Order: sequence, then C-alpha cells, then structure tokens
Amino acid sequence: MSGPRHSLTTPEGLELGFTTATASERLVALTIDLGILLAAVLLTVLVVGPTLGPGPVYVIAFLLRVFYFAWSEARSNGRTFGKRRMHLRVIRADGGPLSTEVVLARNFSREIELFLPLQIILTPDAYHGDHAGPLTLLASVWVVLLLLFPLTNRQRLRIGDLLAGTRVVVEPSAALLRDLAAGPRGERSRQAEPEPQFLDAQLAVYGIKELDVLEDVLRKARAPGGEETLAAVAASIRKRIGWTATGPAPADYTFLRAFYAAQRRHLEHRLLLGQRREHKRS
Amino acid sequence: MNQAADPWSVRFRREREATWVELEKIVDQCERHGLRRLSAAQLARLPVLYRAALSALSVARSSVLDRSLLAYLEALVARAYLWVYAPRRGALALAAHYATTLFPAAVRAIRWHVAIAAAVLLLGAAIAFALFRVDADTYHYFVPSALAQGRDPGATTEHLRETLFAGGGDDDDLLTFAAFLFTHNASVAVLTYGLGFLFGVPALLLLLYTGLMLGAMTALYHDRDLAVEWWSWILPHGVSELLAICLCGGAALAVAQRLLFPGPHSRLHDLAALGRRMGGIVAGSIAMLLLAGMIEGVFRQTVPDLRVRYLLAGVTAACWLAYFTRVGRGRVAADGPTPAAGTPP
Repeated sequence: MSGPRHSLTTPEGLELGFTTATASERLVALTIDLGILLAAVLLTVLVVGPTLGPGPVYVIAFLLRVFYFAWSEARSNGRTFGKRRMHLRVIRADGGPLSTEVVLARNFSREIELFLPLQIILTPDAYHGDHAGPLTLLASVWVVLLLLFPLTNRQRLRIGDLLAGTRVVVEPSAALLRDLAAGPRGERSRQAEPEPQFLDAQLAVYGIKELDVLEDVLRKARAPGGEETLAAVAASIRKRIGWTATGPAPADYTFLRAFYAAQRRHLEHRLLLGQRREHKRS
Repeated sequence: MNQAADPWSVRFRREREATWVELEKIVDQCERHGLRRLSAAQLARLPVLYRAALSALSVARSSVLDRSLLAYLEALVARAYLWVYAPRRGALALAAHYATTLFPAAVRAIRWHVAIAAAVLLLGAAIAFALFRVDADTYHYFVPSALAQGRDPGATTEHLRETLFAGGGDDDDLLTFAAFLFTHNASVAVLTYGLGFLFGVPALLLLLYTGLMLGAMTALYHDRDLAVEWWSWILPHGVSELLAICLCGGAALAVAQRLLFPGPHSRLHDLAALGRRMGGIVAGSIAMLLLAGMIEGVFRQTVPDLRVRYLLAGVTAACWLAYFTRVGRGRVAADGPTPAAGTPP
C-alpha cells in the first residue's frame, strides 16, 4: 500500500512526482523519534539531575521536547532519525527549500496535536480535575480528534503540515538496471548463436503497454515461476506475429530478449517521428 | 530497417550514464553526511550534473521506452533536486540573520494582532483586579495553588513581603522555581500558537486566563500596600515574559484570521505562507522567555534595591521597543529565498 502522489514543479519547469507516506509509516517513524526523545530525557534526569538539581532538568527536558524534531529535521534536510530509518522525508509542498522557519512552524504545533493530547490521555485526572462527566467526555473526544487529524485527509497531513505547507514523502530510490536491449553480455555474444530477426510487419503488432509487460517478464525470468511465464509469453508472441525459426530454434529467453530489443527500437523510432502507439491492435 | 542497430535509447543511455552515476554518488554522500561534507569540486559539479540529468529526464519521458531507465532517472532527479535546492546557510548564520532581520519584521507584520492579544490580557487583569476588590475569595478561582505557593489572601502581609525579596534563602529552590516557571510559560506560549489553528478561540481564552492570574495577584499585593514592591518584582522579567506571550497570542490570532477570512489564494496556500512566519515568532518568543527566566532566576533574587529593579525593567522595555520598531527595517524586501546552488552571482 502506498499513499497518493504529490507532484511539484521545479524552477526549471519540470514536474516531479513523490509518493506521500502512509499513516503507518509515519507512526513507526514517530515512535522511533519519541523513543529517542524519551531516552534523551531520561539520560538528562540521570546525569544532570544529581549534579545540578531539578531546575536545569526542567529546562533541558523542555528544550528537548520542543526542539528535538525541529533540530533533527533542520540539520538533515527534513529527516529526523525515525524518518531516516523509515526512508521518509519532509518536503515543501511547493518545492521550495526547507528553511528553518518551515521546520519550526511544522514542529511547534506538535505541542497541541501530540504532546498535549498524550499528556491528557496519560494523566486525565490532572486535566479534567473535578469537572462533570459529559464535559470530560467532550474534552476527550476533542483531544482524540486532534491526535487523529492526519487520518481525516488522504495525504495524511498533520496540522503542522498545513501550517508550514509541507508534505511527508517516501524517499525516491531506484537502481540503474542493466539495459535489456543493449545486446547480450560479452561471453554470450562470442557464442555463435544467431540473433533472431524480425520483419517490420511483425513489429507493428504490439504497443508500448505490451513492451512494458514484456520488460517485466524478462526482468523476472529468474524469479520463482518466471520460467513458466517466459515460455507462455514466448509461445503466445510467436503465434501472434507468425514467427518461424530460420535456423535452429532459439531458447525462449533469447527469443524474447531479441524481440524486446527489436520492438523497442521500432516503437522508439516511431516515437521520434511523433507516432505513439499505446496498445496492440485488437 | 537495420536490425543490428541498437534502439535509440541504448545510445542515449550510453552517452550519459557516466554523469548519472557521478551525480548519484554525490547525492548518496549528501544523504549520508549532508551538503557540508562535500568537497568544493563536488559542490560545483552538483548543479551541473543535476541539470544534465534533468534535461535527460525530460527527453526520456517523451521518447524513451525503457521503463526501468525512466524510473531510475525520475528517482535520481528528485533526490538531486532536494539537495540542489536545500538551504545552505549554517545554523549560526541563520540564527543571526533571523534575529537581526526576520523576527522583528515578522512581529511588525502582525502588530495589530499582538495589540489585540495584549488588550485581551489586560482585560483579564482588569476583571480579576475588580473582582478581587469585591470579594477576595475570587482569588482562588484565578491562581492555582501550585503557582501561588502560599501567596494567597490567607497569608500575612509580612510573608507576602518576604516572597518579593526572598534572596538569601535556598538558592537551589529559587533556581528550580524559576526553571519551572520558564518551562510553564514557554509551554503556554507554544501552546497558544498551536491553538491558533482552532480559530483562535482557545488562544484568546488562554490570554484572558493569564491576565486573570496576573490581575488577581496584583490586586492581592495592592490590597496589602505592597504595590511598589510588587511591580518591582514582576516588571524586570514580566516585560519580556508578557510581551512574548502576547507575540504568540498575536501569531495565533493571525493564523485564525487567515482561516476564517481567506485571502486571494486558497486557505491552505495562505495558511502555509503565514504559518511559516508565525513559527519563527514562536521560536523568538521562546528565546525571550529564556531571557526573562534568567532575569527572574538570577538578577532579581540578588538585587533587592527597588530603583535598580525598576531601572532594569525600563531598560528591557526600551530595548524591546527599539528592537521591534527599528531593527531590520528595509532589509526584508531584499531578502529573497535562499539562492539555488550554482545560480550565477
């Protein structure tokens, strides 16, 4: 499961897309951060408390609570330790730089949407006092609503995100894979196995969508069940384009890879001429 | 058609792949250690490589059918973009710039909201003061016993006088109490800002309540003919403290106003633009409260002389007045967003 896309336009005029983080991803990141925060506060109590007395402990604990998130987001361009662990990051919705002001604005509101509700839920007596039942209930509902605010919108925005105009997104990542159309690897090409050849008419059958599916099939050839899929797809394509081997019949993978390369060359050539074909002819 | 030739995109990739890999390495390093650890050469290369990758991506989107290559370029450009346009001032330079320009300017921009916040606070004080005159027991409604620490209508005048000059007592206790007050006040300040999102009503109530507390205690000390001493006790730190709370209240009211009466843009757009500046005001207020806490914890307890206390209060008030009306004027307009990496000077 992944969140909705958020797109922004760079100053160069190109639109870039990001996947917004899901509520569960953010919850895990928050839990990690709260754990770190709690550990830091405990450390302060144990180390500073006995030497300097309770006064400095109050102040340090307060500064930690208010500035930990802001500090760790500002120092690493939008990634607290928890977010880093979960491969999340904060970006500005309009794509601008994540300046300190933005980071402060989105984190000061944690006081009302996180720490106050948590305190009220953990120590209800200190806040509700001797107020009557209905009032306590109303206050509890209000507090829970604040805490669950991100669940009320699809992009899982906190109040702080609204105040600062930020989004929490998944860090984009993708490895540069081997190009399937770039010809077989060294050792293979030295073998005398001839590359299957295709006619223009045979390449005019399929479109871009089928090419994408074929790329998927080839990349997953080594995965469990990939062998069977490969055979089924190869048989279906051979039949559809009416292909017959001129020499000895090539292996399914060799055939499909060659067909993929030829098909991509054909479609890209057409694309450069301004003719785009999305689907196969029905 | 020549079947031996590679697809067009294979050549496209072969010609550019080295620069992509170089960019990826630099971005990897940024993500691990931040921009500051890059060498000068890498820092200079980053925007050049980014723009090359960006133009490759826009070509690839329209005419490359290698889906994995497209996915790689999309991710690479997005990652690089976030670093090329990352803010690059150090924390110290930023804080200095903020203190000398942005903070006073942001406060000037919401001066009427701050004035309203101050008016509400004073209104609360006046109400509590008047009520105390009618019935001294109302004091208990406004000042929680944890904060009163025995300073209530039941206490003797002598005891009340002592609380205003308690210098020689237990220093540790005083420091603890000062720290407690600072965290309490600062929490109230941050909370006030957050409450702006709820259309400002809770923020107004919080300001009113702070005023009530102040008014009730003032009335108590006036009642015992300790007015001069009381003001000498509250003003040195109170000037900074109450001003900071009013600033946060003003910020909350500005946010609430934007929510209730949207401008030419959408509510969300306006709110984001405003919220950013208001967050800065809260940070500035916390610094002011820290200063107030230091005055309260250290200075006031060691200086029993009334004239010195009033002098300090006057000096702080004059400093804040000059700071918020004079500092940074005319410099804000020239201060655009952080320039992008590689922008020609």
